[in-house]
Amino acid sequence: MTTPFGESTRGQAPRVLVVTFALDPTADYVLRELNARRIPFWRTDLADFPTRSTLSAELGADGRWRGTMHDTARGVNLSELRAVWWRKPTPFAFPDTMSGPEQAFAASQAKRAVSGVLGSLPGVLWVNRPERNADCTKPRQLAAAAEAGLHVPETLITSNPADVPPFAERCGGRIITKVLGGIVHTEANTRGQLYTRRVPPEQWNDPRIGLTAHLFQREITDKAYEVRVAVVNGRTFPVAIHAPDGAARLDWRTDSSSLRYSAALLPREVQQGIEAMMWRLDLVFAALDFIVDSRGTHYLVDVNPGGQWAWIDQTRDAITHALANLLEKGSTT
Amino acid sequence: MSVLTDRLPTRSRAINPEPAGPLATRPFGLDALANVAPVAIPSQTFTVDPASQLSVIDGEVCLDTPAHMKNTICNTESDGRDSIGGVDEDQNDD
Repeated sequence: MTTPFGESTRGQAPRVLVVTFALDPTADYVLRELNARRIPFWRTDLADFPTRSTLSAELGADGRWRGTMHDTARGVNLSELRAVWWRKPTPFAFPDTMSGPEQAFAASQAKRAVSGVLGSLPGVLWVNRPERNADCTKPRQLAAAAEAGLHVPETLITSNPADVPPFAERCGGRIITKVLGGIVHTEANTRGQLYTRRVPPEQWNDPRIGLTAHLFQREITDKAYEVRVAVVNGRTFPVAIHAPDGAARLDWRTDSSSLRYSAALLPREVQQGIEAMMWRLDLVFAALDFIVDSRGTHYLVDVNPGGQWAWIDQTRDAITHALANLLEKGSTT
Repeated sequence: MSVLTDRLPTRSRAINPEPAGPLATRPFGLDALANVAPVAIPSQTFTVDPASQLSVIDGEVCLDTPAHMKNTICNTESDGRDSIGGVDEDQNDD
């Protein structure tokens, strides 16, 4: 086993595990920095298991799992692992000849084994623990933000269409709806995005609202700009996002090529609120979205526990170094 | 301790072939669907460079190839339009 520089890794087995898909340029910035620092790491995807990677772990009398997880080129000694960066892995993959039930069984086994063994290793830094990401649902993150003292737009989650008109009236008649999960939707061999959209009065009591739960929020009508804040172990990296009039004004993701970025400073109370919210959500990293109104009030609208950040030039290098420092250190303290 | 500790969020890049159902039972939230486009079979192959462990597209390290980085597929934007922005499983993440 050799490093990218052709050196033997004997005595310096990877202590950093990076779990992500084969195409992840955001992660690449940090991995390139780790290479430059000669910090051994192993990048793998859940989809590699069990066809291209292997887990072998035995429980010791002291309650510690010992063994390895590796592929043909690299791997980690479970006793030496110090940090796991959970990025954007794709699901476990099994032979096509397995039936559906067989694949479900295999996935259940793999999921519990890999996450269970890695997750029970003592003294390992997780950025973030996957279950914390899973727990960071929209209802929970908004509640945590409000509990932490951050401003959150008035929010309604309901499967009762009759709830919407009075809520909209309380919001001055201007409400939006956004999805509770990711914005990508596929069907009929097509792919589309579910961006934030306004809900006009004639749709307030649409019976199809009752077909599942939906989220509605007061529209921040006097939006001045938005702020994307990457948080790395308590350090914040804010950037103001300025969208031109048009669709991107409501949701900047609809026309990301039209955006302009500038430096931003967070008010002290927002900084404190972020710290408290991250603690409540037990997250080491997150990419946060704020809407700032004309009076300077910052409204927390989204917490992305594995969110993107490298496309913004202004903060890319600083975030890269902060994450590399964290993974190299293997500790938040 | 969370009750959800057995959950392992992943990002699926699979495209669902099933067509939309009738409008009467189509959830209201899907009315926001935009930029709907057919998904072609990917012509590019994604791998990991065995030495540096960086992302590779068609044999070229992504970060070292301006042509790749200018493309939305590598621009790491959060708009959900590239192949990185697959469908979240158990995670809300942009």
